[in-house]
Amino acid sequence: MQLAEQELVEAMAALLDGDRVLAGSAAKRAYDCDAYTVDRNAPGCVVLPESTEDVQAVVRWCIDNETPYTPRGAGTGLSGGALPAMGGVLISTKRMKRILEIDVPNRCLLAQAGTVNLKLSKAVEEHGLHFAPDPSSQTVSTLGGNIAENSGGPHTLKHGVTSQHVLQVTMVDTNGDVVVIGGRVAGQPGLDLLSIVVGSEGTLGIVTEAWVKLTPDPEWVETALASFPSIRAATETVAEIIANGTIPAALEMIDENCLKAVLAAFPLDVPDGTKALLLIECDGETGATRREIGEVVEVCTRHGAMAVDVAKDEAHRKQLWTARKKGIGAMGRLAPTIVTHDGVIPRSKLPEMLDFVYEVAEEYGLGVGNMFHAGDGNLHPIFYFDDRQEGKIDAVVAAGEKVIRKCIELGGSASGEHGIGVEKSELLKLMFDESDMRLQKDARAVFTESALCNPCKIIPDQKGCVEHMRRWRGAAT
Amino acid sequence: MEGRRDVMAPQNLDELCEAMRGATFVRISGTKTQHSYLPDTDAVELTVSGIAGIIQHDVADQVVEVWAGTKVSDLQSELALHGQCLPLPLDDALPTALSCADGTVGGLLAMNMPHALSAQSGGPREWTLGMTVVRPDGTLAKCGSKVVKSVAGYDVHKLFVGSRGELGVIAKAALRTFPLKAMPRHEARVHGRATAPLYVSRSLRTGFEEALSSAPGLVADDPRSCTVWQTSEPPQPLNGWCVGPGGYRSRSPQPAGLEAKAKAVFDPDSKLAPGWSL
Repeated sequence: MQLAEQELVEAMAALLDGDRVLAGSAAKRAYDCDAYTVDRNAPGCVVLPESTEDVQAVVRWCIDNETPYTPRGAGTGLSGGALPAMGGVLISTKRMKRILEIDVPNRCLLAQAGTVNLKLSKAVEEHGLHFAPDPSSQTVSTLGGNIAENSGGPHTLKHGVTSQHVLQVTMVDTNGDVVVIGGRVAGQPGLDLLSIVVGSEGTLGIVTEAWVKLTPDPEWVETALASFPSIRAATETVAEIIANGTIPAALEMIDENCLKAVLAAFPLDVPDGTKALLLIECDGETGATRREIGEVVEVCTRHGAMAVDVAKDEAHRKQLWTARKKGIGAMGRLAPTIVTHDGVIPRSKLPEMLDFVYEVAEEYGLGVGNMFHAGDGNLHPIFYFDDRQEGKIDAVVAAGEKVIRKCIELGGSASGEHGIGVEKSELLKLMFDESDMRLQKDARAVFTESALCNPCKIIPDQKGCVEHMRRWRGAAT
Repeated sequence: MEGRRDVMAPQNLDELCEAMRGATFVRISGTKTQHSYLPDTDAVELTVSGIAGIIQHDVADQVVEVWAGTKVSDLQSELALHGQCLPLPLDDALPTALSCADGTVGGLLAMNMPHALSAQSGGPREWTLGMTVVRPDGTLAKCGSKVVKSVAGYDVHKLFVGSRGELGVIAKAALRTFPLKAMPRHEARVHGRATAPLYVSRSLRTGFEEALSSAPGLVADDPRSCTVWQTSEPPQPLNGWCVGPGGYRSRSPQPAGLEAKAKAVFDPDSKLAPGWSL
């Protein structure tokens, strides 16, 4: 039984100081969704714990009072992972932003879950180290959120996603106990439980602290921005760079529609008639890196690149990254609402897949731009539209589903880095049959049978999830 | 001992499922190159070495799907024809304990032992994209994907990497391949002759010198990953972890309750022989 809201707020205020409990209509509205704005549901209240003990106290209370609870980092998630689907308590890690220990000789660091991704790298910058996962949200998104979603980013092609950089987590489990999983020395024998926790979207417990690996800065970095007269020329270039045996640190693609938005906001020197940009970064040992970028430029030119701009210095490099880093924000200039999708295909299927994305957008009367991790085959179609127009939300949900179905059909995945959340739980069943889903449920059952901890995500089999989904998807399904 | 034990050697997936369904107490094996790490039990042996071969190699996508019984050396030879490889040390002079070049793909994944390029190219967990497993009741289930990046669902395939045949049988796996020409050179140093089984330990960088200086029966070390291979058990206390005959020790042991729960959930009838005497 859920308690009346006032009672909930009072109970939380008794556990934490008063200013760490947010309630009322403004708070409820601010926290009724993450960056997946299509589905919304207000929490009963929001709490701002500062420590593992605070989180534990809140979780224990929720368990005792059968109240659902949902963890949230910066709310930049793109599949609704931080949506309080069943209401209840929203546990924000916003104030858990302390870096607790920096161990330079052992190249690792202990931080609270609410620490902003970029702050981790900033904290060890002077030692020539950094935290490798760099999701586009890294200036705001938190370590805890990155762990929950197993976040990627432009540089994961070479340096790996979040799971490769997390050594140990402290988690408040769904019994309200604090467990420590993993170890500071990588490759620990025994069952790799940590690999299930990372990417579990906050469904197995709430990670409150983590030891993460720090990566030495590369000796040398080379960055190039190449302009292509067609999408196909760009995608074929991607295929050949990889086939040649080069693994760039980043290999990003930006299509014409995204470029338009970027150019409207930032000065960028690209030739007229550019239909696609490739941003290519190589890093590592100086000689090898210089050789690699030389080869990359050669491949680009052979595939008809109209211009290849190689960064001359750090300022120039930053400028070349502008389009990619500021792209999503710039998309706001094209329409009031954008929805970013996420799917993966074998990268050799990129040309075919992109054609399909443009067809789908046209079919549903939506604008679409593509800005994505081409080297990984990780697609991010960004649909833009005016959500005040009737039927557009349904159209964007349907179009997204169609794109993801195609990804799966081509041998890919329903999600490369945004997660399943509430958005894709139905689509997961296209990848996994009943027996595969049983394996998924068993993995969850190792940690929890709770229906309270971040319900309705990944496998929405908790009470009330079907009704919730029906409500927000309305007549669309 | 060996001769007395029954061995089941299924030749295809159906036979493998059938064997699992019918068995009451089994130990899974490949070519048993790391057999001596596992505790001796009276379990029937189920070897996957008869189910071998490459299912599909998408050269351009750098993904290969193989049967678990495929020999690592055979796979490497096949991949090399296309300028690719699994990122394991390609140095014939290295003891096989450091190169992991011996044995089957299933064994490589299930044991997840360190190799001489662990620091540079990661362990099997980093390049296993997905797999199909046979569960103790004989049913098939797949997890992960066949693409280089996926966050669809829980990463159950990673749980099977290093699970030492305790949760189910790995039947086939999708692996990321790497360009041969970009392979880093290992920095491991070989000091003595390797006689199996070895104790393998890893420490924090700050504890490596000490671990190295006090390593009885030192066979090899890798300063990059701070790993030591030796013939005798390293002394207590550890500042990392150690794996060797009979089991493993760690400075940060996993919550025992969770390990036991995993075993109970995945193998409810305790059909699969323990990979370690936990």
